[in-house]
Order: sequence, then structure tokens, then C-alpha cells
Amino acid sequence: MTGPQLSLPKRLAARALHTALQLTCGGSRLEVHEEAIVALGWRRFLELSQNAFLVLKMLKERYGEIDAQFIIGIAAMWNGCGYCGYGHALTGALLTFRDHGRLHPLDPHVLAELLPLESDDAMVRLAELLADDRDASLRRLIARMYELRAGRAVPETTDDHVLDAALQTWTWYVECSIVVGLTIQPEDAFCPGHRVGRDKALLARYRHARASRAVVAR
Amino acid sequence: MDPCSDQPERVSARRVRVRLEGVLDRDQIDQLRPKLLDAIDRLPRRGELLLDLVEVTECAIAACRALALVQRKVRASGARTAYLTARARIHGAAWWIVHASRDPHAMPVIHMDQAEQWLQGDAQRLDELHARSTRAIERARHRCAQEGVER
Repeated sequence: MTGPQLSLPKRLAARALHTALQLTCGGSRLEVHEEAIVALGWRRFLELSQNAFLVLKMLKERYGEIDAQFIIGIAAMWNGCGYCGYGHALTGALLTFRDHGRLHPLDPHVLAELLPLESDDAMVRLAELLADDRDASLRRLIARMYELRAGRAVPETTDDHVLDAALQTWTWYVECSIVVGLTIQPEDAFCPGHRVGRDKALLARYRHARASRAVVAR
Repeated sequence: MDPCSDQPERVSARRVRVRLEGVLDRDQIDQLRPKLLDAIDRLPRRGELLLDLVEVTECAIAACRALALVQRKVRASGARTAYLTARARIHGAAWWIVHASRDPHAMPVIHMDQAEQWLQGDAQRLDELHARSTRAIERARHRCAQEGVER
């Protein structure tokens, strides 16, 4: 792909956004912002940002911050985007670890294992991963979101409409984030737009705990 | 299986279908390119291209780049394109290809109903994505507000 052709003001704006996100959230990829501004133009770029904000707000109010992050991560994953998929899954996993002292079954490395599977098989695996009673609500929401995405159901309830909004908005988002999302590795994930990503000590503890559990499991 | 064993197939007066399988690499796409572009050239104005990637298991980034170059040629022909996929990773590759090609009439889809709807429609991809997201949010907000009132 040829790099985006940006005027100086747009280049400066993309860099300012990138720097702000790095400082507030501990991570960002400049090329995603540049690509979004080039592909969508200013107005649509701002509309996309607003839509993403509205969906996140609805999800948080309805399901809490942690499940909101996982729902977005899975919506992006179905579109094959590691940038949003890994990033929002890491955010949910870090919040679970910080607030509940628990390693959540979904993590960027787990999502990376689901990406190559046929979608129905990936959904079966997701249901297995979320088998614990503590994940029952998220399991139900993700299964329903999958039915809606696959066209096996149409939105009927309020939950359905909120899930559909997440799906449609993160399908639009992936149009631009895929420039990084196709090749990003799970170990390079960061928390897009969330302050928990700035807590590098938490991230180190989380990764250590995850690695220790993997050793025990072996 | 050699993915190029499937030649571009003229399935109707307006549509060419190509079915690829297995692991895609750049050489395979380069081999396919002249046959595909020839088939597209023979389509009437506003033809339809269905790229069936349901049986594709891997798509290297070099193959994505090669397909994006092919898609740029398709864009010039004015044809509409649907990339049909069954795996998230391949769906991501299709997003990468349509984005890189800057073809507003190419769209990744996950089932044939979606493919038919896209191929027979008129919308451009970025307009469609924007409209779907905004419409879905409006409906969701309306339902949430209604629920709040009922409580």
C-alpha cells in the first residue's frame, strides 16, 4: 500500500492525536490516524470518532466497562482486525486483572488463535473459553452478536440493537485500522483510547501472571 | 490444491466469479491477474465480480498487495466487487485489499445474501459503512431511551 498523501495541516493533526493518545493511553499507531483522515476526510473522520464514542458509552452503561471492551474487541476480530481486536481485548483483560485479580479467558493471544478459524468454529471456541459462570453474560452477548452478524437473526430487543451498533461501527472503523490490524502481533497490542494502557506496571504484572499460568498449565 | 485451477467463470451476462482455495501467495495472484482482467474486460458496463475466498485458509501480505493492484484495474472498469470470506483472518485481508485499492465499489461480505445485495446495489463502500453505523446507533439510542421511559 502506498503511504497516505497528507497535507501539512492534516499531517500535524494526525501527529497531535497520536501524541495525545500515547501520553494518555500509553499507545497509538500514527499510520491509522493518517489513513483515516486521508480515506474519510475530516468530517467523516470526526463522525466515525463520535460514533465510536457513542457506542462505547452505550455499551459501558449497559454492560459495564469490562464487557464493553470485550464486545468491541470481538466485533473487530470478526473483521480480522488485530489493531482493535487485540487492543480492546487487552484493555478488558487488564481491567479484569486490576479490578478482580483474575486472568480473563480472552486475551490478545487467544484472539490471535481464533482469527484463522472458520467463523462457526471460532464461535464454538469462544463459547468454550467463556464457559465459567462469571462470564455467562458476556458469553450470551457475544453469541447473540455472532447470530446478528451472520444474518441468522435480525435486531429485535434493545440489547440486539446495541450489539448491532457495535458491529456496524467497528466494521466502519476497520476500514482504516486494517492498515495496521492485518499484520500487528498480539504482543504489540496496546489499549486504544483507554487510560489503563498507561499503567505499565500493571501490564508487566499481568503479562507475568499470564506467563506463569501458561507454565503451570504445561 | 492449486488455487488457480479455478478459472474466472462467467456465471451470468453481468457477473464473473472466481473461486480461490488454500494458501494464497503472490505468484498465484500474478498468474490469475491476466485471466481475471480479461474476463472483466468482457463484462458489460457496471459488471459484477464475485471473489469467493470461502475456502482460502491463508493470504500472505504479498498476495494482498497483488490483489489490491488487480482491484485497482477492476475499479477502472467500473465493475462492483464482493469478497466472500468464511474466516476472520481472510475477511481482514479482504478489508486490507479493498482499502488499499481505493475502489469504492468493492466490499468484503460473509454470506451470499450480502454479496447479492452489494453487487446489485449502487452505494459506495464508505457511504454504506457510514450509513449502517449511524442508522444502527440511532436505533439503539432510541430503544435505550424508550426502555428508560418505560422503567
